[in-house]
Amino acid sequence: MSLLSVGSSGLAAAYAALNAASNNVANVNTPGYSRQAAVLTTMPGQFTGAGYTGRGVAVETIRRAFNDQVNGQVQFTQSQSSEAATQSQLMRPVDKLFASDDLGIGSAMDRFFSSLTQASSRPADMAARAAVISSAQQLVSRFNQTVGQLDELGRNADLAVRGTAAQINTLAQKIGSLNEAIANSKASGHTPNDLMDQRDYTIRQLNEQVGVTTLEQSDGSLNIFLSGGPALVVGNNAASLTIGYDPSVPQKQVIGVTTRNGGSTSSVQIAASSVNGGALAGQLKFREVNLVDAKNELGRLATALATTFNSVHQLGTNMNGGTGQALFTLAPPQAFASSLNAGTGSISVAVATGSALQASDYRVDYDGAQYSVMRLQDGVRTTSATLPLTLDGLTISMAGIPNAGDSFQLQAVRNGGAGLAMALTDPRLLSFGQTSAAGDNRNALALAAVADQAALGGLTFSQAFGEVSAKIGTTTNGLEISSLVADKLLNQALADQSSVSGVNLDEEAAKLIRFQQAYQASAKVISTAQTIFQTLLDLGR
Amino acid sequence: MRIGTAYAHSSSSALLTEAQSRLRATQNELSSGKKVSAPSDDPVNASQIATTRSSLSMQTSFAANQSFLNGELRQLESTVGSVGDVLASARETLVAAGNGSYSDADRRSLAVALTSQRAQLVALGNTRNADGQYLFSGFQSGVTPFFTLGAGIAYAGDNGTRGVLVGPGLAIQSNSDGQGLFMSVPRGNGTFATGASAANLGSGKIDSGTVVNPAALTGSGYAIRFTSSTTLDIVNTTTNTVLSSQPYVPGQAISFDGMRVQVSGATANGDQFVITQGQTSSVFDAIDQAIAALNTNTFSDVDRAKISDGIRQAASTLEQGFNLALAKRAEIGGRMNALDQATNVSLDREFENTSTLSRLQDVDYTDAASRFAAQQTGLQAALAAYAQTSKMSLFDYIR
Repeated sequence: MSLLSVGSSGLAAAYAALNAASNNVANVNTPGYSRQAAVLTTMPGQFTGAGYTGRGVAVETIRRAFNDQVNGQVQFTQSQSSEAATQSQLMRPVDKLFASDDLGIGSAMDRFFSSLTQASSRPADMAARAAVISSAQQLVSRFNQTVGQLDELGRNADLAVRGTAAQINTLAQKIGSLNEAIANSKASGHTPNDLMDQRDYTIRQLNEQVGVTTLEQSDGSLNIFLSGGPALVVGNNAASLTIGYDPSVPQKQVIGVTTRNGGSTSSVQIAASSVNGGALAGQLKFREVNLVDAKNELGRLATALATTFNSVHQLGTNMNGGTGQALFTLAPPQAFASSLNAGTGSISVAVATGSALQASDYRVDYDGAQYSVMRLQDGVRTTSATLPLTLDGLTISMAGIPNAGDSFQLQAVRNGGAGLAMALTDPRLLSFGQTSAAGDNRNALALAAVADQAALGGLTFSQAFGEVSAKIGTTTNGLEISSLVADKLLNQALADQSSVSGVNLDEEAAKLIRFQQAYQASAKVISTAQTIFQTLLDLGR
Repeated sequence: MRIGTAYAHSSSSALLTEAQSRLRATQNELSSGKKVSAPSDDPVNASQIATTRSSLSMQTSFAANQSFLNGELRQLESTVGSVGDVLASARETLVAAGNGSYSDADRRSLAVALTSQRAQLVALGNTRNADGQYLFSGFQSGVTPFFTLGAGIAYAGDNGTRGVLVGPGLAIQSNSDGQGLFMSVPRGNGTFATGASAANLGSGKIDSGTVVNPAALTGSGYAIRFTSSTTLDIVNTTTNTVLSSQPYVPGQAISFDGMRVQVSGATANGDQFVITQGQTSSVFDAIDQAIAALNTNTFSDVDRAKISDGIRQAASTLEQGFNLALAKRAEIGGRMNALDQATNVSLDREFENTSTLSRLQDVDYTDAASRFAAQQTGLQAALAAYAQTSKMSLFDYIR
């Protein structure tokens, strides 16, 4: 009898192994699938007078080939690679905008300086004067258009952030449901391999969107946290990302995490800088850092250019005998009080020295005794007990009375590029002389000389543009390199994971042959048992 | 190490994609001729590319200014040259008028010649450039500089000097004002001027004099006053002091305070010769003085002495004007030299900047072409290897 049962246990084991191999072959291209294998154990032997007799084989469970550490590596590198790729891709069009080609701001600036140089030699020539006006107009449009393109990129980034948040919410929901299903299945004592694979794969998709960390619970469910931040999924309860507005800066979008707890919801805002990993971090860093930097750099250049040329131009006399007017107009620097402020303080900022400007926004905090002004680009703080304060070429003034804890935001040069415009378009109004004499070119020479002067942080305007171009280029290049490195690391992790969990068809083919033979052998055992039994029966005939 | 079949396929195809994109990047370089199209392609040199482009752009405007200035200076030089020529021929006319055998009628015909030379000078002074701007008005280049005012010619320009930028921070003057060239010519011999008093009763003449000791010059005005037909006083009219009293020997040099003059001819008691320093006159006034003298009828030696003194004075002013025009022409020549130098420096810089930009931006074709060939070979090998390995499967051998 035992021969039959040993044989049939062998058949069952071989069948289970064949089934696992076939399943592997079938799922060779399923993303997130971990190859499975039947775990076989020997049945405990039966004690007889002649010792223990084998009773065959048992299928203990079906186990997936899985390594927690390798999986963790994949999850982490996925979020890093996705962040770097997203940010670097978003940065690429910005990089192109700062190229030194015939269409760039640098070339437009050069053409403006050239037209001034040529017009200075023939101050009475209306054609040369008109050329100055038209090249200045083109320079203004290049500034306006470039900022317009940056704004367009910003709006696209806003949309992308919304799209990413929606995907994150869907994935969080899915992970919540998988958590529930896994907790229910685990009660059976066996691991639900396919659900686990699905959940790991969903977490990887989530990491593609935003970096998360996981914490396993005793029931087998995984709690998901935004990197270093609030929980996104607890058990089967998924929170959702929402888009809101920053109360301290108008028009600035911020991300919030809204958690439902029974019937009530609670929401916390997360700072863009604390989001790490995934496309979301890439999009937020691009929008909050790279784009703001680029606009501030342009604004600084435009503001310094306009104030420098205006001050020289206003020293001259135009063809009609009038004193020089401004050549360019600028958007006024912006200053905001936080909507959370309790005091009546109203802040204002004005450009005092164009050449000392920095490409940064500022945040002013009042603690009841001191104003602390922080340059947001590099975090440098300046404190003062009273306002007005002159800092980085800006004069910061306060009207009304702020309360302790009130804060203000200054965007001194942010709109410089967008708000630049021509103040005069009549070539006769160009102040080329110190007198209105037709041949007086003294002020034109002074205007042309601006091109060679240290006008912005010790650099000429061309050098300053070169510096900005190099800065943007270095940032873009750095992002591309981090993206390549992160991609290499991800690939390495994926190779490791594939080596542990991936299906190798040759291996499965070998297993098919092996277990087919085992199956045939077990069948032979049964057939042998049958023959033996028949022999016994034949004896009694 | 185990190889997952699906990963093996996807990573091979990712590698193929990467190889293709590298090949495509090289192809782009080869077809555009540029290895840098955005700052991130070469952030280290991005700043230098921008400033070099900017210098090149300025170079073109300097070149335009150089060619403009070249035209201006050529016209100015030839005009000033013509002014010198006219002044020289006017002076020759006056020298001819000194001929003692000329009749009043002969002198009148010389006056007619002088009148036409005066008109030529006015026309030259009002020369305009290609843009219709006057050469000699200073900053007032839209205003006719020389115009008739009463009997004389007045100057409506100013002494503004217009610089033309021909290099970074380098301006070369493109114009010359008419005041210096036409209106304030030093009178006399260049240091002092001599003249007979209009009230003289004798026919004595004074020459233009010479400076014998520049260190002894005082800048004062002087008069040689005849106290009789044979004695004279030398008076400093600025300090109103008599320097010396001496006998008059016609034709003998009289020296005082670094100057030497010669008085000749018959003088009368009360006759006076005046010596002034630092006075200027316009060339037009000098010609007008000569024309007036030539048109004077002569009845006596005294008349002839007065005419001759007027002509002598005018001739020396015109000579000074001629010297001034020569000096101005030389000065303009100096500016043209400076312009030539600036042009050469510009061309050097342009060449330098062009080659710098090309080094920073342009493709090294040899390098790019060999890179392209290597990448192409690599891609072909990768494609062949992928095609071969992907064909291998144990399933093919299970029968």
